[in-house]
Amino acid sequence: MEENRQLLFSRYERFWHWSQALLIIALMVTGFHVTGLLQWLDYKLAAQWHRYFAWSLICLWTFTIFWHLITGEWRQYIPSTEKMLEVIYYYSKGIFDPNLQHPFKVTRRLKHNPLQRLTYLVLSVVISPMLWISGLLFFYYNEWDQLGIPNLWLSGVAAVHVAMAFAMVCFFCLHVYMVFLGKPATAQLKAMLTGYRVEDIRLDADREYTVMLVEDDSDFARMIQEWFETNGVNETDRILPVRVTMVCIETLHEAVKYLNNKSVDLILLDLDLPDSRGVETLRSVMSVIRDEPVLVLTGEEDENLQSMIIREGAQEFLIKENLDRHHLLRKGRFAMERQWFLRQ
Amino acid sequence: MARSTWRGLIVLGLLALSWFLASTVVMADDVSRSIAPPTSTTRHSKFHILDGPFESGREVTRACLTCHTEAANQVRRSVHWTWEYKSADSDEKKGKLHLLNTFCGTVSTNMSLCTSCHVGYGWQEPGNDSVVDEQVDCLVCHEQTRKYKKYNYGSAVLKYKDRVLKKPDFPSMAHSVTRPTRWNCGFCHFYGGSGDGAKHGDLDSSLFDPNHQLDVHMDAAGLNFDCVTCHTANDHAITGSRYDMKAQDPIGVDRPGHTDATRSSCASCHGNAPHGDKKINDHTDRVACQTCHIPRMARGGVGTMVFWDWRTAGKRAGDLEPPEAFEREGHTSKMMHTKYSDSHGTSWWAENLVPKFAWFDGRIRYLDIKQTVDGSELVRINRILGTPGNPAARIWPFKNTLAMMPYDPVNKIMIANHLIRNAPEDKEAFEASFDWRRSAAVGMKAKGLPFSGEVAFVEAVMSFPLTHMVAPKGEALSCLECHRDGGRLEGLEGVYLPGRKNFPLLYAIGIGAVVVTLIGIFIHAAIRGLMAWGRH
Repeated sequence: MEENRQLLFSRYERFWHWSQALLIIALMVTGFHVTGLLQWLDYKLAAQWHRYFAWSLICLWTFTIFWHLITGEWRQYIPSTEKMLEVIYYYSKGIFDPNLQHPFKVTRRLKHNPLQRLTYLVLSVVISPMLWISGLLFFYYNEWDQLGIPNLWLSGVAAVHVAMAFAMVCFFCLHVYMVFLGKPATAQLKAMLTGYRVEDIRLDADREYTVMLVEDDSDFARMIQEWFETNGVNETDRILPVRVTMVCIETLHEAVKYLNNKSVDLILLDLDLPDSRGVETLRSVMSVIRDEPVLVLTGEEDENLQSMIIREGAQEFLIKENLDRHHLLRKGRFAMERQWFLRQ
Repeated sequence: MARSTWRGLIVLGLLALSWFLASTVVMADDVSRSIAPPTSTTRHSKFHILDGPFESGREVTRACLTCHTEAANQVRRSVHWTWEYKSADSDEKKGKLHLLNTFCGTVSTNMSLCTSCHVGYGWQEPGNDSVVDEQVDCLVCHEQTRKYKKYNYGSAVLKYKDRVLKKPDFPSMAHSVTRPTRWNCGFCHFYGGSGDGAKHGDLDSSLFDPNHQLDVHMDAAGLNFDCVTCHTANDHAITGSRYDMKAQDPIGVDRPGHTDATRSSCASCHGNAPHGDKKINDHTDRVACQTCHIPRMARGGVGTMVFWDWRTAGKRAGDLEPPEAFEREGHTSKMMHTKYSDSHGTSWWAENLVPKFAWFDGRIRYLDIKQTVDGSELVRINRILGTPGNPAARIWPFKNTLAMMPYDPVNKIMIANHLIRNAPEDKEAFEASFDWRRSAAVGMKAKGLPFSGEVAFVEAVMSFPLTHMVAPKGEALSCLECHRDGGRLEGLEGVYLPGRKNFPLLYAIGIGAVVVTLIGIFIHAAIRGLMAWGRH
C-alpha cells in the first residue's frame, strides 16, 4: 500500500480547533441554561462557567488572531469563487455518488474549499463578533456609563446574543456532520486529530475505472482486454487495485467521438489506425481530452518518434513487442496515479 | 515551530488560569465577628439619686434629668414622642397619629391602649405646652430588668380609679439602665398591630433571643447585635425609620465623621459591592440586599398576620372561609392559623411566607383618611413608590397585610373606629357596645369627619418593607428563584431578567432553525447511506 502523509493542520491549529470546540460546546450548554431553555445545571454555576469559558475563549482567540496574522494563515479565509459551482454541485448531488471525489483537493496551502471559506468568513466576521460584542456588552452592563457606551436596550443586546447563539448551534450541527462527509467518512476527523491527511494514491477502490483501448488489431485488442479483465480475479494477482471496464475502439474517428461525450480514466492508444497514422493520431486525441492520461502503444523503436510522443503530452510509450500483462497493468496504474497527482 | 507553539501554549494556559483565579477568588469576610457593644464609663447602679423611693415614673425621669439635662428635650422632638412625621419631599403628615392602618384602622381614636407604647407618661397632643420634661419615659427604652410594663396612656403604674394595683420596682430598674437593647425595642416593636409578629413579618418575639439561622446579625451566640447597633441615634433621634426610608445607600460603608452617620442600611457596613462575584455585585444597583437575603418572612416560629377580617367582629362566630384575596397573594389556607375574638373579628396568621416584590425608591404614600374610596376596589392604605428607571429605586421585598375594613358607603370614606375604651365608663367603644354605628360615630366625630350612620366593609391592603431576619448567606436566594419563568419576580416590570422566557418568538425561530438543520442532516445522511448501500 502506498500512502502519502500530508501535514494539513499544525499542532497549534489542532490545539486551537479542539480547545475552541470544547469551549463552544461548553458555552452552548451553559448559555442555554442562562436563557432558561436548559435546566440541568444549577443556574449560578452555569452563569459563572459561561463567563469563565467566554473569557478563556477570548484569550484563545487573541492568540489565534495573532497566530493567523504572523503566519499569514488569515489568507485561508479570503473568499474565492474558484470551483464554487462544482463544490455546490458536489454537496447537493455528487456527494451521493460514492464514485465521485470531492472536486476540491485540500492542501496545506489551500485548506478550505470555497464554500468553507465563505462559511468560516461569515462565522468569523458576523456570528462570532456579534456574540462577543453582545456578550461583553451584557457582561459590562453595569459599567456602560463609565465606559461611555450609550444607553443601549439591554434586552435587545441579549436578543442579539441569543439569536447568534442559535446560529452557532446550527453551524455546529452542520460542521459536525460535514466532518464525516470525507471519503472515507472518518478521513477528515483523522486529519484534524493527527494533523495529517493520509492520501491514498492507490486510486479509489470503490470506483469502477474506464480504460479506453484504441487499437485496430482485434487479436491484440482482445489480449489487452483480457489482461485488464482478469486483473483481480485472483486476489494474489491484483496489479490494478481497482475494477476496470474496457472500452475498445478501432478508429480514431470513433475514439474522438466517444471522448467528446464521455471522459475515461486511461487511454491506451495505438498510433497506427485505419484513419490516422503516427503522431497525428496522438495530436487528435490530445485535442479532445481534458487531462486523461494517455499511454501510447507503438511497434517501432524510433527514438525520434518516442520523444515526439512525450512532447505531445502522452505519459509514456510502450513497445508492443516487449509488452507483458504485468508490465502494462503497472504502467496503467502509475499513469492514472501520476495524473491524479498532476491534477493537484 | 514546535518550541514556539509550546511556549505559546504555556502562556495561554497561565493566562487562562489567572483569569479563572481572578474570577473565583472569594473576598474575605470583612465583617468582624467581634463587634461588642460599647462599654460605658458610668455604672448607674452607683448613683444614689436612683435609689428612690419613687412613686411614679415621672419621679424617676426627674432623677435622670439631673445629669442628662437635654435628654427629655431631645426625646420630645423625636418620632417616638410626637408620633408625627413630616416628609422632606411632601406636605403629607405621616406618623401613627395621622395614618390609617390595616389593623385597628387608626391610632388616634384608640389612644388609651395605643399609648401604652408611647415613650411618655400620659398622652398629650404634639405642640401642647403643658407637657413637662418629666413626662418623658426614660425607663421603657433603657431599663434592663425586663420587668417594666406600661399600661393605658403610657402609665407605668397600674391603677383602678385611684387605687394602685401594680407598681414596678423603680429603683432596681433605674439602676439597670444602659444603651437600649433588643428587649427595650422589641417590647413595643415586636408586638405592633395587635400582638406578637402581627404587623411587620420580620419583627417578632423570636428576635429577643435569635439563633444564627434566624438572624445572622442578632444571633445571640454570635454577633449579638442590638437594634441600635444599626439604628444609630443622635440626640435620641433614631435613624432608619420606615417613614424616611432609603431604598439604597449610595454612600456605602459608613465612616464616622465622613458619611451620613447612620448604620441603618446594609451598605453602611457591607458596602455596595459585598460579593466575591462581580455579576452578583452587578445586582446591587437594581436589587435590594433584602430581596435575596431575607428569603422568607416570619421565619422564627412566630406567625405574622396576613388578613384581618373585621366583618365577623361582634358576631361571636368567626368566618373561617379563606378569603379570595389569598389566591392573588399566593397564600394557601394550609399555611394559616386563625384567631377570633368578639371585639376584633377573625385574623389569619402564617409563617415562612414568600414576600411580595416591588420597585421601591424609599417613598411610601399613605391614604389620607379624608380621601374617598370606591367600595368595589381594593383600598391601598399605602402605596410603594418607585420606577425601574429611577437610580434610587430597588426591587424590594414587602409583607402585604390584607384586611376587610369598615368604611362609610354613603360618604365613601374609611371609618376611624373607636374600638378601645378611653375609661371603664366608656360604653361607646366597639369593645363595649359591639355596635359599629355607635363606635364609628364616636371615632369619626373625634376625627372631625362626616359619618352617614352606615357601615360597610371594603378590602384593604398595606405593605411593609422587609429588612430584618437576615438569613445566613447559604440560605440566600438561589439564582433560579428569580431567573426562571414563574419565579419570584414574575410580573415585575422594567427589568431584563435572563432565564425568563424573554423572547418566545426568537426561541421558536432558533429552535426551529436547529430542528430544520438536523432534519436536513438526517435526510442528507440517509440518502448517502442508501446510495452507498445501493452500490453494494
